[in-house]
Amino acid sequence: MELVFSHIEHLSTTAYPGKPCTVVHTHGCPLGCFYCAAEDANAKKTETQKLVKLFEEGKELIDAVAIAGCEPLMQSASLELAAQLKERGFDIKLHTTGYYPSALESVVEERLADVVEMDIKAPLDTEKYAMVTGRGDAVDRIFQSLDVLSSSQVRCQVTTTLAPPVFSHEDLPELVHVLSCYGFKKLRVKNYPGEGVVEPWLLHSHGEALLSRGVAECFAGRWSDSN
Amino acid sequence: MVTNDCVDAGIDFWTAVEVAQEVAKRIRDGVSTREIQQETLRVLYAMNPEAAERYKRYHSMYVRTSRNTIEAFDRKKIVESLIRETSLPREIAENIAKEAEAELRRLKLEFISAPLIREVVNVKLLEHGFEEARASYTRLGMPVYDASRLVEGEAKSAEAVHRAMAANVLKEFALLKVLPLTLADAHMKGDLHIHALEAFATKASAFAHDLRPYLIAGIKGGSSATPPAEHAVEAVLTAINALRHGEGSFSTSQCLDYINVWLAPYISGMGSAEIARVARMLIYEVSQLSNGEHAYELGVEYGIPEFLASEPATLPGGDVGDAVYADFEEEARALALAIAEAFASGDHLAKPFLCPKVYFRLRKEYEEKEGYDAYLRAAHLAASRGASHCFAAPHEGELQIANYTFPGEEVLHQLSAGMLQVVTLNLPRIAYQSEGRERKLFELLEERVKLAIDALLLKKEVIDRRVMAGMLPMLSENYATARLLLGVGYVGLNEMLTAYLDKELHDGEAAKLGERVVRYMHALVEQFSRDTGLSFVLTQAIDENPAMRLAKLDHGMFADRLIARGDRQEGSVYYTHASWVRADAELPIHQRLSIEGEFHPLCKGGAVSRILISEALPEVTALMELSRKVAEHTKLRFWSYSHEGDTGAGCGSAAGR
Repeated sequence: MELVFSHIEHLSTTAYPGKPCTVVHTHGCPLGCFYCAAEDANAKKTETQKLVKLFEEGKELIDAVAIAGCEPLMQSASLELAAQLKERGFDIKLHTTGYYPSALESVVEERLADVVEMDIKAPLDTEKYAMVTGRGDAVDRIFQSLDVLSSSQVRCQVTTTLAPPVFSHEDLPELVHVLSCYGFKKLRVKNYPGEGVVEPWLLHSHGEALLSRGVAECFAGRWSDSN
Repeated sequence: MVTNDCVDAGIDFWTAVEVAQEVAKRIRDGVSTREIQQETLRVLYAMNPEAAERYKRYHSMYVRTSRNTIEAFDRKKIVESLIRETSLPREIAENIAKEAEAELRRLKLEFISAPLIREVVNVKLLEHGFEEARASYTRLGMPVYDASRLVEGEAKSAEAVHRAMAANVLKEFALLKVLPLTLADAHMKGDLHIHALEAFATKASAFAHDLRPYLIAGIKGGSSATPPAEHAVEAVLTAINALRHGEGSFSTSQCLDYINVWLAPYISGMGSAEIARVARMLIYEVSQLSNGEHAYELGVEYGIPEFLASEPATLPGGDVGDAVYADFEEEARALALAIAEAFASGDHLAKPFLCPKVYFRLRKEYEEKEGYDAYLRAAHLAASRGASHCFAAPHEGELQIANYTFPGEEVLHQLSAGMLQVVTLNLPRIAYQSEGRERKLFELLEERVKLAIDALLLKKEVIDRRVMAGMLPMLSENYATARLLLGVGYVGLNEMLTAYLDKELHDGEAAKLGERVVRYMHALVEQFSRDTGLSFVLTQAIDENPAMRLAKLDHGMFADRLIARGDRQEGSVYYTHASWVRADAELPIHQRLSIEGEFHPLCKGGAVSRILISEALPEVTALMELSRKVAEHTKLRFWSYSHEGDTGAGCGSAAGR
């Protein structure tokens, strides 16, 4: 099966909790977040089998793979890749925007990932989500995905990216409250480096929110434990 | 004499005779030359004032000498110095001196300097074809303009000014007087690079001390001799003094390997807070020695490695024999952890330590030891924060001292080693000159290796003489017993293959040729070692200098076929270090390390791979796991982690810069 991807990061120490891993950045996303530059990257195609073979050769050094976005669940090839790698003993982390709850359900039920990270793009309000992502139907899907994750045994991490003025630190308490209703205890917050970058102390003052260090290190920094 | 003096000054012969006769009546025995001249002047003024003026001008040229005195010009001094310094026959020396004097008098200067006299004499030597004599007679130094720029702000400190000026003179000295023309030209043209050229004539390059002899006997240096250390603080100070005095014998770097092993007996009975204090003191004191040019390194083991367990321990007071190092296993581990933690903390301003570089050695036997995880975590925390580090994993049957690898584990009562000199080959140039022919490629390679060996043999002779003369005390103490190496380095294997095959090192076919090239060099140095009884080794000595310098020279000479990294328009080009895969090549890490790992066993004089991490703050647990896997599953002996965009280690190594 052919996977469309933008690039492969051959070594990351932060993309999988506590393990060096390879990150496959898939190409294609249903959302159109105004700050996202990922879609500009050149798309390449490869057979999942080729990737599996390549990663298997290096399994002695790297036995964890993160399948990240744009939105991996947009392609069934991502699930195929995860399944094949899991069969061969790899640890898998999957990133998602939460836009494909059915695909996410497959991941969870078939245990295709050891860790799932879901990135919330805006306050869970239809209008605001549409303002950030360009999608009016996203919020319902996000709630469905949160349902899937909260009732699963898979280790989950929830992140979000502030994008003032549409999504500012003042929106965090409400978001955190909603997430806590689903049983999530921590939220990793990243700053979009545009106008109104939120000061660290402001984020800290909003309870459960964790500080990250900026969009440039979106997948860097230290992961805390999941919920 | 009076007649000649007058005639030399342009006075006609008969007037000169008259003057001489008159002066003879007025002077007595024992009068000085100056008094005769003064009397001659008085007589001339009475006879012919115009002639007197001419005479005065002619005999009033004074010299500001190199001894910082002012003396009357005396041609005889030029003659004597020419004979002494160049061994020219007297007749030729006199002719040269006469012509030089005439040239100087034409300038009509009242005061001339010794350098000016030398310049004029050198021109005369060249005019007459005495090039070799000129090379011996010329003055070494720095243009006033360059010196002014240094003093007025280019240098970082006054000390740096002194060092730069001394280095300038010594480099010229090495090129003019120590190295034969073939080697001097080879260095200047860029066929090879002689590291630390300013110290070629004076010091050995690098050394890894075994602290034990100093702990037993103390250190003689400065104006006193220290006693054997009685406790931990004294032991640390002994180590520091060894390094400080070592600067007089070694030009680029020094290492204290197995440091926590040797210090373990000295911290026996101490609590963790005290041990932490000792560790901090060690790190800070070594760090404070750093002047930006000389590098310092420490080597740490987690506990006592098996091969040292039965070695008699050097105890406080310098006693040996009552205990073995295995008796101090817990202390060695505690100190290793404390050193790693102190190193990871950074300095008082929370900056990572760039000096010392710390080698953290990983061994399978340590995995079972209590607390190993905490030690590894601290070591990798230091690495993640940008501290200068290196992880080391000796393979079966290997002994590592600093960045060097030796076979087996013999002679364990003495674990010091040094690199006398490194000479690095310009591999890309060999490709440019090979004209696409493999036979020529390998012929040139052999020729350059032999040239490097010639330079290294010469260096050995030089160091032998310096040791005999007592100029290198810290080396002299170890000269008979230390493992001393002579290193052949290489730069730009990737560019060599690209120029020759149009394929890079990470392309399968090119990798095969790359291995053949390095194995061939390895075979050559091994043969020279057998033939001479000396230890020639291949090395990947970390130093940005040859990578940049040789690329720039090639940019000038082989612009049409240059393969180099950097900005060609700006002229800031450089070659890839040794046999590294190009840093930004899109390659899985297992392939990259597999390629580079092939060369580590061949480079016994030093090897390192740099694993690039994209994150500004790497995750420590992941780094730890990666190191464990690298140690277990690759052929790498030494590796470090750095961030993309780091231009180079700049950290030197005991393998020599």
